[in-house]
Amino acid sequence: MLNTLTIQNYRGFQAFALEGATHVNLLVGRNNSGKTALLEAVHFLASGGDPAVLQASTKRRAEVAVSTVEGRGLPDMSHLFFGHECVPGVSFTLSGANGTPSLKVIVGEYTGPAGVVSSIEDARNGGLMMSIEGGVATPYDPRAFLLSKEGALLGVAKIGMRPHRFDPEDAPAPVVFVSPEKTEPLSVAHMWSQALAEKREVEVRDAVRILDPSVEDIVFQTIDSTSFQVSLERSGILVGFVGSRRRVPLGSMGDGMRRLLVLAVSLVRASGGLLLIDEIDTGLHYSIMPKMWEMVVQTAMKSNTQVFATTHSADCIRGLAALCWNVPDLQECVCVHKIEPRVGKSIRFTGGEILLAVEQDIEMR
Amino acid sequence: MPVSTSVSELHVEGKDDLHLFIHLLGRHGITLHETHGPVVLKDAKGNRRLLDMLPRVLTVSFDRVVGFVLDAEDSLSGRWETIRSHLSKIGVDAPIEPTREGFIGEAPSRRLRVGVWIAPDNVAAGGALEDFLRGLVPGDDRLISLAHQATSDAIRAGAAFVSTDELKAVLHCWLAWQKEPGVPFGTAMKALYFKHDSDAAARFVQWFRDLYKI
Repeated sequence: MLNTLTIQNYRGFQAFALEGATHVNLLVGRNNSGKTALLEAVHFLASGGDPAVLQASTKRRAEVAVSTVEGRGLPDMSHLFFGHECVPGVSFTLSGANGTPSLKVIVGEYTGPAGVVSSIEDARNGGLMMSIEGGVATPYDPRAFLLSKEGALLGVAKIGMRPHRFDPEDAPAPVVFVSPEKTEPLSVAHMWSQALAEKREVEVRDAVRILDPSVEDIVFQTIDSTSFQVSLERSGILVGFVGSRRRVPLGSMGDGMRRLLVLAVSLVRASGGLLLIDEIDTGLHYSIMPKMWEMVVQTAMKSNTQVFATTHSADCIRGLAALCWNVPDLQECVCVHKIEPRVGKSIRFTGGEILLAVEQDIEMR
Repeated sequence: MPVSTSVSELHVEGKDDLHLFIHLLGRHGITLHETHGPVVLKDAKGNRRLLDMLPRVLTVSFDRVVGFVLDAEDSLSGRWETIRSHLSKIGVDAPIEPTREGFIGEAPSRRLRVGVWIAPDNVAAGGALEDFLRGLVPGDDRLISLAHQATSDAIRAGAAFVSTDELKAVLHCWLAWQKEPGVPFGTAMKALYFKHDSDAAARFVQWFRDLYKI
């Protein structure tokens, strides 16, 4: 379990530490305070330095640099560095405790063979190399990538970014990132099929039942989506209710139910590893928050999964406080971290303090 | 500095205080709504609780203005010393002695402005909101001396309240004899039973204006 995260020069954080993380951690703070960046930092660190995590972060944020020569958009790596500056010598570091290997991402001048860059006009004009050091070693080491002088990732075959391919025995614990976007590609259906393949669909159903005990089962229907254009992410999932003669397609049930199923299936998917949820309250009515937290915290504890989530919602915090009140034993498993880069360290509230702050109407956000 | 991007807050000890300040400030031309602002008033539901939560409120406050009104109780200097140490932890410098005009300080790194008023007037060695209110009983009022007298008689006859609440008893006794008997402090301020312009009240209103730039 990640207890501490120390960051230097990553995105909006010049120097920052998040300490005292527990099983379930809720990150709060103003817009642009860096909550999502922290989730991404945790993700990158937990992945052992998987370059695909960095690429996914720039993609999610639509950080695109237009190649001056090719005229097409390329992932812009410059925003990963504090001050959005990508010049030779800049770097960012992420470190954890409990034996998590530290990571350093450094930008230098490109010194590789000329032949490799000859096909990229951008790189002729003073290209850069971005190297990932530390983390978990892979057969692809050194992990070095060619950037344009502006920081655009020049994705060429020989030194493009590739996701980590670990030997199954060396693979780190699973990490699942849930973004608030509805269009997270195939996430629900994909994770649901994995849960089915691993015979863990009952765990998903049990998690959903914490929220709605009338859910009888959840099944996955095979659809020929080529003949019937449906939203792929919602396709094929049917939910059955006790006493109802028909199962209902997930897509007809509103964003809240879909979101809850995403959370449930992600919890099962991330079992024993790490679940990162950006804007956990998305699409959820305030009245469901205590139940949502009950599902997240109890499932996470049972499966030894660490959760980091973000929110802007006071109802979401109140829901967590309600859980702390109703199930006092869980107080030590949860905490709220207020993220404020200006103080260099997260402001931490333990379960008991969350309860007190909500009772006293203290604005933690 | 600071440019507030969050709602400003004023933390007070109780409901009575909250309504009193809304109506006192209203009589000075400052319109406030408990929850709609422009300054949100928060009732801590007790003086102990306000003291407990003060450091937590300071720790989480950024980009806003936060004010506190607390009773001096039995020691102005003791109360101020406690608050001063909490302020220093978030980088707000405060003088060794409380200021007559009420304290206003800033933590530039947090874009935070903090105000502290210790009732009754930042000067009296001890006291509470009731002392502040006693100063707002009109000078020519003939009932207040009767209320003092009646309360003393009641104490001798075995009234149950503790001695520190004597002034509170006097004021409620006095309020019992107004046109509409027994209204709370805020309503009595609104109904003009209290005046609005004692020296302490004028300083309090000025402190409020300076703190929230209203």
